[in-house]
Amino acid sequence: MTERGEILKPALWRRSRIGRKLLLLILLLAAVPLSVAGLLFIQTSQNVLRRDIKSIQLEVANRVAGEADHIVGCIAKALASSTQTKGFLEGDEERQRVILEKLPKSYENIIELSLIDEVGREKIKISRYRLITPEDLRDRAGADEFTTAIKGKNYVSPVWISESAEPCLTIAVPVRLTEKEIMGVLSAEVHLKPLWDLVSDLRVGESGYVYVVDKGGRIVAHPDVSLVLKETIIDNPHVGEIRAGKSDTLYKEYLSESGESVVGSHLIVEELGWGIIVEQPTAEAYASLNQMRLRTLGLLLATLAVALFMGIYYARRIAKPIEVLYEGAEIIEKGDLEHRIEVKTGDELEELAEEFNRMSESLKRSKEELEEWGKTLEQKVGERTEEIRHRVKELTTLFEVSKVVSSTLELEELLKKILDTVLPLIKAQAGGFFLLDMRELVKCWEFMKCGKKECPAYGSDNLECWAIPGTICRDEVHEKIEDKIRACCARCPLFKGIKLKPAVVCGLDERSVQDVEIGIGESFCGQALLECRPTTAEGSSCEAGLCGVIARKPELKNQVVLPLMTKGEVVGVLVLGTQRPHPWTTEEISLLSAVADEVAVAIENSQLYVDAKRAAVEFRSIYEMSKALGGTLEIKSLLDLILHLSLDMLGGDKASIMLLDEEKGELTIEAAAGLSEEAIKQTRLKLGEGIAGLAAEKGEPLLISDISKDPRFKGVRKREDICSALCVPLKVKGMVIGVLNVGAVCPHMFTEGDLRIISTVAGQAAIAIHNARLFTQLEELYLATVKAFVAAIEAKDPYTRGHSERVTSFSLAMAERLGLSGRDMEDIRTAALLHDVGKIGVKEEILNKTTSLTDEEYRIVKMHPLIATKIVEQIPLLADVIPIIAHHHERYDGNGYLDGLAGEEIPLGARILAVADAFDAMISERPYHSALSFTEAVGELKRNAGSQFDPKVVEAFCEVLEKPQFGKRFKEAGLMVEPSKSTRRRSGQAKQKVN
Amino acid sequence: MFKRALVFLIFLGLLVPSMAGCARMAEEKKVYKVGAVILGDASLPTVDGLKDGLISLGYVEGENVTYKVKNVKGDYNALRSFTRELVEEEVDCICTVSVRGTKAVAEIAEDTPIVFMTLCDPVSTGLVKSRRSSGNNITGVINMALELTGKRLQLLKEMKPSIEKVYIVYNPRDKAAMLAIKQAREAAEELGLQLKEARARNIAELKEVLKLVKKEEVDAIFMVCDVLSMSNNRLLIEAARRERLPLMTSMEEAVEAGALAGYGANYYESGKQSARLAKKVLEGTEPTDIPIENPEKIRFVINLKTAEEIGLDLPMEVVARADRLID
Repeated sequence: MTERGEILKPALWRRSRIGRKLLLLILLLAAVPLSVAGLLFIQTSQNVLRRDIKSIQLEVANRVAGEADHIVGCIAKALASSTQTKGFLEGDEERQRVILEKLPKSYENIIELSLIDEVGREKIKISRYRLITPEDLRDRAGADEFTTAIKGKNYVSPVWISESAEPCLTIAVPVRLTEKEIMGVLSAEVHLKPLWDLVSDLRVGESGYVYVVDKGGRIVAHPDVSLVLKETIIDNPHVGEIRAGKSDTLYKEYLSESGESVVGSHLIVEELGWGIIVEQPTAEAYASLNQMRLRTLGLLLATLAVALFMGIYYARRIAKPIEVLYEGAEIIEKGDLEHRIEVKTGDELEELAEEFNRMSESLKRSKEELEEWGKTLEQKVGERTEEIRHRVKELTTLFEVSKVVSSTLELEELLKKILDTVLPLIKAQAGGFFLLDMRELVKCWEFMKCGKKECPAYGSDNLECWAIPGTICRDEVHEKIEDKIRACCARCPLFKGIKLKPAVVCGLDERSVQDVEIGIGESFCGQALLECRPTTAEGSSCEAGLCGVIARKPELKNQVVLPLMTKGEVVGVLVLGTQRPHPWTTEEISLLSAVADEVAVAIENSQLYVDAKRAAVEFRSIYEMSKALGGTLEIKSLLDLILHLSLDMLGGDKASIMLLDEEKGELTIEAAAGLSEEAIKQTRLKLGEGIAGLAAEKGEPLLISDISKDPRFKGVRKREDICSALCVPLKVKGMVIGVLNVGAVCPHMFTEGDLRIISTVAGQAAIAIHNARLFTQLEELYLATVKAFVAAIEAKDPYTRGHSERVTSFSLAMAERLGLSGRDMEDIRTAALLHDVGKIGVKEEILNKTTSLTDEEYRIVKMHPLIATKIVEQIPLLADVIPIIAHHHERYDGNGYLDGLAGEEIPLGARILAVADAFDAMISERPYHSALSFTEAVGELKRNAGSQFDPKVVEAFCEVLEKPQFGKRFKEAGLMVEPSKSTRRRSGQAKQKVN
Repeated sequence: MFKRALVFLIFLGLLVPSMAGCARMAEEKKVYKVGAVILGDASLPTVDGLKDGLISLGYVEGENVTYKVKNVKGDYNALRSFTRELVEEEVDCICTVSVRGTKAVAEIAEDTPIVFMTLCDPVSTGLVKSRRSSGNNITGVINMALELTGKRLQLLKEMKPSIEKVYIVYNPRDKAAMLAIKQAREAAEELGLQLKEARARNIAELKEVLKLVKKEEVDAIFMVCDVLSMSNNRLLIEAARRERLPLMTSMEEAVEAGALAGYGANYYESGKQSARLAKKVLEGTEPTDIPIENPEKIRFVINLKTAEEIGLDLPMEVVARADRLID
């Protein structure tokens, strides 16, 4: 306590010193200048006032002096001048009386006039009031007026009071005969009433007054007449000065006759020796000064009071906080670092106090830190090590992530691996990747139904939709996209379709996550996506925002959403949830951001990989298709091929090829996959009708993401549950020949890439179809020509008429029986039709010779297959037919002609044809033999089987003949089973038909 | 605390001067009441003089002074009742004329200052103790009509040196008149004139005696300081005119009305002069401290018309001495 007391003493002393200093200073500042100014002001004012008082008083005195002089001086002069009036000095008494009678008229003050002769007797006497009798004339030889005036001097008597209580005096002047000779004295009694009245009327200020005293100090005129009447002699400083002849003095203060303090001044009237004294009560004279003094004093006091208040106030205001600061500093100094200095002055002192507090705070912290540090240095080191280890782990993780990213291009696998890596590291319990499903995105211009240039976004100031990934506008201006524009996209109708869909999740129930869809800008995730920056949520706010499933797990207290971005584009988000109560740290978020960036790159790479793979598949498909299309000229199989290839490449559910019937202007389904028979048969579309009709009419491919939502096909009847479709016109040389349709049950199945591919396919397909058509036409044309030859040959030989048709029919029946099909069948048909075309080079005589042929003739006949070969060789399409025609006269045992082939060496077609040819020759009438019966002919065939004919073929022929269908077949071919009339007739009909 | 004190100080600073101002205004508001009692039409100019005089001394009717004036026309009962009225109203000062009228007022208004504006001889009539100090509540200006009796007679003689017999009428009940007669007799003796005296106690008597004045019997008529004849100077002027006789009066007004000459104080001027005394009284001076004053202006006035009418040839010296000539 004593120690503290000792410290506090100087503190208080200091405090009071500052306070006092300040107080004193303020007081001095306020009081000193004001006092000095006030004093100077008062001093100056006093001087001015005194001068004023004096000048006013003297002015008044001068007026009185003037009046006195007027009364006395003027009368003296008048008297003197009267004596000098003409005739006055001549001694004529009447004349003198007349002259003197005029004086009272001019000077009302004159009461009496006396002309006194040189010995002192009154000669003439005139009174204003009285009737003068001779008895009134007195001897005035002894009177002062006479004795003085007779010596040549003017005389003025002291004032005396008349019977009628009037102040009077006597004025006497010498009556000069000459300058030196005095013959008498003219004396006048004069009353001073006007002087009295003047004196009584004059006021100096309120109650100042003037009075007149004679040399002896006797009052001659005074406002208080009684003083005059009492012939009061007064004594005051003025009287002394008047006696001494000193004039023009202002006395400061003295006591007046009535005992009042007055200030006064006086003036001496030289001629009379009178003093005129002006007195004014001091209080009144200096009233203004006193008032000024009072006011100054009041102001001074007021100022001092104010200064005192202010001084105390400010002294306290400054000294108090300083004391608080001082005490606080002491306390802190003693080690109480918890102490806080409370100073609320709102100025530097407060700042100082705060600084003190900060200082003690930081001291405290330092101290604590030091202690802490000291205590747990090892622990600290351990922590640091742990931290470093953690960092290493982080780096390792990042490295691992990178490794994972570079290890696989399979997206799902990649994402799964990344989640597995990241979750333990940041101690998150759940997480997932949600990726944008871009397939849902409608293209701007497609949505707007506009051409590229007509797009409202294109070139307009409204940049909002430029930010939409995938719009054409954006492709051109995406450099200009700013974040804030991106935010606008949430409102864009085109954006509505785009949803975040779960790709891979971990720590969550996958089935419940499956159906989660989040729109852009929607909920917490969507917002993060829109803003393109990591967003965190805590506690209950999670439930409102984050992807429902994660939010539904209440134990996940903190969540973070990280947008996955590559090249400024968002591809999805990484959502993580943790059970930790504390929020995500900046480090974690930056780590996660790095991971997210890696993942985004990986996703992009994966996407690129998929794209590349897909492109490769596409190209291969196109290549395969081109190859396949080139490989066939058969239109039906060609169309089927096209459909299957298209479906394979594009993965649609249904496909069809419609070809244009130019005459009717209708599209009909030529080939289809996945469509019902009914639909295939019934579908007839005019140009411009339906989707295909529109595509055909415009000649442009159509990509329809969702037919039900596409305004162009509002009225179109929805067929076969198709939702999205690709529709490509098949064009050759600019002419539409048909349409290739690919459809899918689900919407948004196809992409622009698909459209590109299908367009390529369609181009190829169109050419292939066209080629096939041309080829068919060409073939048909040639075949017709050849058939014409055959017909011409047969026409020449009536026996062989219908031979080729019948042979053809038998051959085809056999071929079918032997399991041939397609091309082989066609070859056999053509070969059968044309097998005797070589006979065109054999003379008719030889052909129609009924006798045996010579060797030469036989050699010529044996040449006909070769000739036929030569003719057919001209048609490349019939290349496969040539061996059949060339070898149809070979024998199974090798004794036939043309090349002597045997057994299996002979083409199957040729072997079949040989049987058919021989059978028909046997059952026909020939010049060289008559016709065998059906059975005979069969027997002949069976007999020669193994030698002339291939036994398998003969066997097959026999089977064909036994089958009921055969009859039917023969009917169609115009052949008869039994050589009967009816059959013959029918045969004839058939021949006619052929012809 | 600090603010409150400051406000208080400012309030105080504003309040004090305003209060002082109010006090001063109240002080200046004093309005004096002056009563005036006149005995007849002749003395009416005194009231005009009084008012004008007070105006020149700073007392303006309606502003700081109010008047209550009554011409009782010789009715002393009316005078008394009016005086009572004035006393009840506590007027500051009562102005009067004539010894008798003043005495009548003084009997009732014992404490109210009385200023007489014109009268003959206050001392010998016992109205006041002395000229210097009245010793009571009365002061005023005398008209010196009595004192000037000799002088007037001398002037009459000088105007018409041939005069021998002078007719004088007086009221024997009027003390001042008696004194005047006494003086007149002495002066007549001095001047070698013979006085023919007549007595009249009232107007009727005055009219009667004046009928008897005959040019053959007297040379001039001389008016003495007698309230009856002064008040009815018209009758004397008529008689003088009738008989073509010079009439010497003490009243300028009478000269204006047709008397030959007058020497004495003017009613108007007297009133004006007494205003100064009234002012002193109003300002608080006791009447006893105010000496009774002589008239400041004693004027010799000659009516030249009348002189011509009565065929009087005035000596030039006398005319030259006149203060005013009426023609």
